[in-house]
Amino acid sequence: MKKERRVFLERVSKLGAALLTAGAVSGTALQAKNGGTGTTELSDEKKDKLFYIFQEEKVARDVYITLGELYPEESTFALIQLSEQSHIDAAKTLCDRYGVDTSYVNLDSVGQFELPVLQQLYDTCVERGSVSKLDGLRIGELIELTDLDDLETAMVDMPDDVVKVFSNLKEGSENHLDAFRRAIAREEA
Amino acid sequence: MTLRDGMTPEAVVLRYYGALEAGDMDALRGVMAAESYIMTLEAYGLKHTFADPAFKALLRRCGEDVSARKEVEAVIAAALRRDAKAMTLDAFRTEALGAGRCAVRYTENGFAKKMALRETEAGWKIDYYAGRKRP
Repeated sequence: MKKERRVFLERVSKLGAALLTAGAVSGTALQAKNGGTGTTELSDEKKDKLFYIFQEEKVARDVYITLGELYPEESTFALIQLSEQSHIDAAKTLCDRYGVDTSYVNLDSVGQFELPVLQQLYDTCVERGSVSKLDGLRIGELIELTDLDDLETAMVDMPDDVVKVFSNLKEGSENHLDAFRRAIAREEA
Repeated sequence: MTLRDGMTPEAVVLRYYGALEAGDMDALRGVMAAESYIMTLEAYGLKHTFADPAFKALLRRCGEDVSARKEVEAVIAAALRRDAKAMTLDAFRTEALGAGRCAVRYTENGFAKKMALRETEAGWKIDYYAGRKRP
């Protein structure tokens, strides 16, 4: 499995370079633009939500990594998985800026989640996505639709810089959604 | 750390797992913050949405509509009872995360897990948004 993952990552790193440069906001870019400093204090409640969103972003990335390994001929998973990593990076940058400690969250083990509810989501998506490539692509479509909803909700009453990042993530999710829908149409044809 | 009703955070987590295993949604709701409970319904309900668009619509409304929530709970409870999984829970350890919140760390079938809890008027409740360490 480890070898397969290395091959998979090697392949996506070639395919995904263009997407990364044109896609969602990277953490580094965000820091540079804002000088790496926060200008607004977030309430405890908003910090809690930001921390949860950071952990939740890993679900999409890990589902795409796993389904990408299962369907190596389908480049959509590979391309979007790289972009999902940039979503995690952007969320981490926001956490850092607002003093939300993420150091104890393990992002390395693909498919393993400390929070049982996130494990349940991951397991369900992978189980369904493993039925067929078309089912896998439909899971991708579902994840992106859910992400769009979640980001829309998460933006409410957030400071401008957070809204800006979430808007960029939304734009990324809309692009991912289009990519999954194109792949679904191709599979169904 | 103890609850006003005598339950420790570890006991709350054990009750959460017991409720899931038994498909006892009332018990599950009783140990969770309202928003986290709905998130749990959404996670466990997801697999039922693939084949049933009507259930999907119910799941979307279950946060605001009690009758929709009850229908969702009935479907999930039946599935939980049918697919009851044997869980080995071990190595419980409670970690303070700041005033009024804590995390219970443990292993589930050997895998590291963490449940966040918030102290409320009714005692400790599982709250997915309480997992952040506060200074």
